[in-house]
Amino acid sequence: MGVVQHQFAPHMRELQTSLVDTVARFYPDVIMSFAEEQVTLSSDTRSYEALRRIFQAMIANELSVQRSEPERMAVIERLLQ
Amino acid sequence: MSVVPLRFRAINQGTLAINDCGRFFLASDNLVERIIGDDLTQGDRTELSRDGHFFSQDDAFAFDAHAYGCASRWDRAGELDYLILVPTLRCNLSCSYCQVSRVGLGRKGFDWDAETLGAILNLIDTLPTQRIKIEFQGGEPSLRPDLITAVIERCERFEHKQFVICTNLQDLSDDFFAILTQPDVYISTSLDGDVDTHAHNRTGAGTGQFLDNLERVLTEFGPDKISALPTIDPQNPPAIDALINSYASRALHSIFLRPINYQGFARKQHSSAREQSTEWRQFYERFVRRIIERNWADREVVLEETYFSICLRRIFQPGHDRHVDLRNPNPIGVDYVVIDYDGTVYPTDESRMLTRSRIIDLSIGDIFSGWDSEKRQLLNAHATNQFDESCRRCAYQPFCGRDLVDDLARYGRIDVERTQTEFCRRHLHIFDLIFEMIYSDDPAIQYSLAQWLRLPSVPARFGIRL
Repeated sequence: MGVVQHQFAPHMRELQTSLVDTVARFYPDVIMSFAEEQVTLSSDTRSYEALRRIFQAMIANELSVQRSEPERMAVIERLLQ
Repeated sequence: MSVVPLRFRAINQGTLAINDCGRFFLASDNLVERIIGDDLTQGDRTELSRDGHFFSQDDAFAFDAHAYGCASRWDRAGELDYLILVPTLRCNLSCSYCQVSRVGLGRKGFDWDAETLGAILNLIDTLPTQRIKIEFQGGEPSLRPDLITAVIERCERFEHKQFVICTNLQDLSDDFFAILTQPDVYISTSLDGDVDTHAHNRTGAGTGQFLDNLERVLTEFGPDKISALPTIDPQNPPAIDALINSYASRALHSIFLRPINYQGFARKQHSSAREQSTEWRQFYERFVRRIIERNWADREVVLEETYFSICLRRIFQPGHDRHVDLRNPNPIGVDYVVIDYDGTVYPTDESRMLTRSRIIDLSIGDIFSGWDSEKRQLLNAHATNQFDESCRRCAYQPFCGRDLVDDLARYGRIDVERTQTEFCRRHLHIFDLIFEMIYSDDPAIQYSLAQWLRLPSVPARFGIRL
């Protein structure tokens, strides 16, 4: 069983809801919780290292999806024409 | 402003980054941190832009290249050129997990009548393509070799034609064997493993007859004539080597490992088939790894799990396969349809089973009046994974697909949150496994991946690391 705790930068707090949602969707065995500015990930089957990587990948994924959304939609609209 | 159209997925070896075109790399922790902080170095930008992972918003050429890459991932359904025909619903077996809802051998009114056959032949005459694929399903189509022959003869004009007869090979007539002598006719059959397993699941006392017929077809026409696939009961899977041996010993090297489909009779008699368990996924993974071991140990033979290879080629060779169960968008009733024994038209064979099971009527028309129905248009409005809330966050979206009928079969609706569906769980598992193998240093794994991709040799690497 692994547990990883991170300080969550205040400016990233807006990601909190979507991160909890996304972790539940894509890593259903991982439990994610927030308390104050600290985030905790735990799993019965994954190591500390695996959880740390999941946390990092999820933040990168969420930010990347948000940042590239206009271009992604522009491509889809163009291909649908 | 710069564009970094990446999505990320943590796998055992690191953090996978995949762009919307399906190009990918394994990212170092430091690079991921810099992407998060929007703090890329000039070196990062150079490396990332090389494969289209980074470009400037005002770079029209880069945007076009990106759009082209995305377009290459989109499947385009062309003209109707693939028919799945059900000349009879009658069958000479009654398997517990029959997916097709059959009727008894002596029943009347469950074969094409003259009017239905005529309408199907007329449809074939009007198809605008030079290419045709016809799959005969049932029931047991070998019960009506005359109907099969009538269809095949009508396809003479096509430049490229392929006929696949899905048969249980239980009781075959001379007329049926005569059909098989044609080079563009193939057989698809079921082989659940060793003799005892197949007898238990399907043919009982008639197993010897099935095996004799199988051997006769193999002897007379060779293994290329047949594709066989096992149906596996996840609650009681066979021994892996016994299953592989039952195929390899007959020079059948492609094994489509298929759990009991939640269709037809299986809905009642194998209700656990609605969701596949962790145990099934573990069995599947052990099976693939065992095949890799055997391929490495004996380089004379290349075994493959068919669906694993299809998914692998979705990553490296988009557009290579025309596997209609895994594509995006996946419109129904366009380039292929199923025509039942009574002329009713369905978008897929699974939708025929759902209708026969009285779960939901997914017929979209009939051979006499057409199938451009409102129902078809309604379903096709949802036939893409492009706008789904979960799929747009999923790194594997460029490789994955959409299967409306599978969702309807399992959940009775198409708006179940994607990651809660069996379709999504299955593909997340397979793509995770594939990428772990892509980044494996094991030469046995690298060898099998190259073989499954039909490469002339093992490349220096399958995936880059940045």
